[in-house]
Amino acid sequence: MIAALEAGDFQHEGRDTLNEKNLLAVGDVTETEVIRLLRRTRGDRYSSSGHDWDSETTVHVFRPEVDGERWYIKAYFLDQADKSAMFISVHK
Amino acid sequence: MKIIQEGEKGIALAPELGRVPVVYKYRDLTLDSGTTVKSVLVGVHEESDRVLVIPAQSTPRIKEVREAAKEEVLEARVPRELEDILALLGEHYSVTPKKFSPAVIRFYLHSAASSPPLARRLDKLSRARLAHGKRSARIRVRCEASLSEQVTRLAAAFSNANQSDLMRGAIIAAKQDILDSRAKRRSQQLKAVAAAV
Repeated sequence: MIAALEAGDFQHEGRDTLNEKNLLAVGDVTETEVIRLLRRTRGDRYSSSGHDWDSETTVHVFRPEVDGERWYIKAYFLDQADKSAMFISVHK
Repeated sequence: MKIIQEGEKGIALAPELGRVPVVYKYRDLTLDSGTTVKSVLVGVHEESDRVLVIPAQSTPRIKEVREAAKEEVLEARVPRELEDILALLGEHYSVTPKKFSPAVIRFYLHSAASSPPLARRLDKLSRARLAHGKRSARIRVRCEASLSEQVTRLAAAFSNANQSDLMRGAIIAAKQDILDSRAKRRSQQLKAVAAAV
């Protein structure tokens, strides 16, 4: 996930409209900030599950607590090499 | 940074359909808030005509439109002489007043928000003779919501001032600083502002 952000190889899931709670998609947080949040996510603040629309796609959920703020980051990969990330949510 | 070109194909997830092909196209995108971003690159499932993907490269355009939607307008009725001063300031820096005048007012109001002496000066100048002619002209300045809030707070700190008073004070302060050559440093700063508008 971090490699995808560093490479600028990521997109955002749309559902006809764009969910403005995805703060990365609307530019309220940068990829650098999201990388920092991912790096500071403890193991017990990570979970995964199948995507509602495709059970074979694993959705990664990160719930880091950084500088007193709880974050929620949800993303998945569609390509087999896990290179290009698709973000569903990035919000506090 | 990966840049996707119009017409490229990709894969996305769609409700009830799972993995589906998408084609990247420039089209209008609606945000949750109802704001529309005109002609931005999105991944479209052609069969259903639904937008399923928004590439990272579209974020700056989305951000720009959201910021513009948050903009507010500061307004003041002013004597025509203050309009003349704004025109003279534009001439001083060889720029058109239409773009430069709002920038001058924003510059002073923004500076005053972090400088109590300048804020007191704008308040004082808003009661100067020049500010009290017949107010037959109207000035509108677009600004970010944060500046509008700062100006409201600033005006509240002075018992007899409002937003419009501080705008009139800002124009007179600019006259003194630039046209009367009273503040070299501020003149240099405004030269940079003039070059940027």
